[in-house]
Amino acid sequence: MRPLVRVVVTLSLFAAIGVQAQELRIGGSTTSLPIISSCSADFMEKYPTWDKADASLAKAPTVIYVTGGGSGFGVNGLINGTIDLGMVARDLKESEIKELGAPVIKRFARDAVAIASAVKSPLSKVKQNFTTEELAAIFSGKIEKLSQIDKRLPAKPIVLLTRDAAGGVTEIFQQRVMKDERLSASRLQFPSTAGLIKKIETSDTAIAFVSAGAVGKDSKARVYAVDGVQPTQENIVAGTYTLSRPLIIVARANPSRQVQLFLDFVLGECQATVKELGFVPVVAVK
Amino acid sequence: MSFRRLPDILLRQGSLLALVGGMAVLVLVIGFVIHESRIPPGPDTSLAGFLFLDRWDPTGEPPLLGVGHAWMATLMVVGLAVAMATPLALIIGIFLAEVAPPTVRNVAEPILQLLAGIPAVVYGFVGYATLVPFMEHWLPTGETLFCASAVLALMVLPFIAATAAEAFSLVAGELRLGGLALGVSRWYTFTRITLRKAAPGVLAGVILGVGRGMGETLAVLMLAGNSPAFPEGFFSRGQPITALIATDLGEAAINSDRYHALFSAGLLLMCMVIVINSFVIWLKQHFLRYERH
Repeated sequence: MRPLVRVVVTLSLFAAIGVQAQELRIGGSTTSLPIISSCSADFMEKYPTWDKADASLAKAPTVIYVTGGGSGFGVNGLINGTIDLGMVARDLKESEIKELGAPVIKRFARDAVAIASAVKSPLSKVKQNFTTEELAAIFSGKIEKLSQIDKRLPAKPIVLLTRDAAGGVTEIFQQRVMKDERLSASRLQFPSTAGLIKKIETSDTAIAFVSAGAVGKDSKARVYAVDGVQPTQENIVAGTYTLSRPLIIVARANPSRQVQLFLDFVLGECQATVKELGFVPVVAVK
Repeated sequence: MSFRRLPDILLRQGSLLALVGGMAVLVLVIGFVIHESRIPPGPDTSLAGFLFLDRWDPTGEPPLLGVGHAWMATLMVVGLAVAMATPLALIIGIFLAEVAPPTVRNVAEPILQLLAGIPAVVYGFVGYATLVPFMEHWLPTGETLFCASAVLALMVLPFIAATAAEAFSLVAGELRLGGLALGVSRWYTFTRITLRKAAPGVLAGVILGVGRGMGETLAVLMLAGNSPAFPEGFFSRGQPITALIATDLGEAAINSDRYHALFSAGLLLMCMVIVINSFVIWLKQHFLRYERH
């Protein structure tokens, strides 16, 4: 009896959402949140009513709601019908794909971690590449002085800069580089990426991990290769640069025209926003 | 008859309502912090680990939720700040109450009050742009507990100085004149009469300073380095409790161990302020007893 009631309720929920298909509800990963909310604002500005985006649609106002909730909510909300599009900051698991039944999955950006120092840092002259093991030793505090990285460097203490735990990059770095090691407690934690970049540009002894998109070409900071691979856009998108994770957006099977239009927009015009916000776009942006 | 008494009744009931309302909010805030606190914060953290032994590493495996580094940093930063600010504030207070001509006093006192009103972020930013690069001539990073203390000392200085100046000027003129009439020096009059009479007021200023310093978040977050390391000295980096809470609360899922640990840290901070203030009040009463004839 009970399960039957639940099924009926769920079905009617689906039906209700089907009726008000003029609204899009998006939720999930907080890392993707700034990108998608900025994209949807642009979308709503460009197409105030749905018929402007596609003449076959009704002349109803375009309304897109975007909320966070985490990658887990991005999947679960999609399964139980709370949202139309889920933002997830990892690839979907087999079990999740099965439960969703042939979902539409679009990778729209990558979030990558780059190792950075000042251009004027003595490190910049002798080092071009770090191995994952070296990085784990440096960021766990086992290597304390620059001279332990390379004998030609001065015996000055290394200053470690990181974002605070709120930055998604910390999560990637912990999983891919540190593994079971702990980040050194004496690291400086910055509440914003911009503050971190300012600090690293002026320091001779600082090493940082930052969002790969944050270090610009004209910056006084530079990035390093990891395990021989440069953190360029091509390498990150191809997946050869391993310190990155995909940001995906998922829709249920047979998406509505509105969902389709929004997905196209995210993979098209919105890629400039992706780059602007410090993430790596999946297609080359001028 | 009763109509004429209406304003009276309104005023009495209204002020009672305001008092009860204000108290209720205070009680609710404290109650909420206590309600959300778990000491220790989770089954995997021991009491000693939470308060003293463990590191703060909520994203490591297994997560560690120790706040020993944070309360230590808070005590060091506020202790040094108040220790630096109090003598300076006393000198300013003496100058304003005893030495300064009225014109100087009329200019200096509003300026002190203005200083007290400058937002913390401005102090923090000025310290970050000046003191931090200056310290980097000697240290690997300018962000240190000392830096945070120095700027915090500037922030609490006006509170202590203004209260001290007021306390000095409130000491009855005839007592002072009586001292001078007996032929003792101005210094003797000041130390033996004015300072003793004004001591409770000065201590009230110190309480204000400690309270303000303990709760200060943004300036210490910017200047102390925000490193979750146990401080080794004033020239190492640290993370006071307020900075820890501000840094981590955004990432702590509601009702997770990390969330409870942060609320417990807040409760700990509250207890520290209460204990320190009680001690100063006890000191004050000790002085007052001395004064009674």
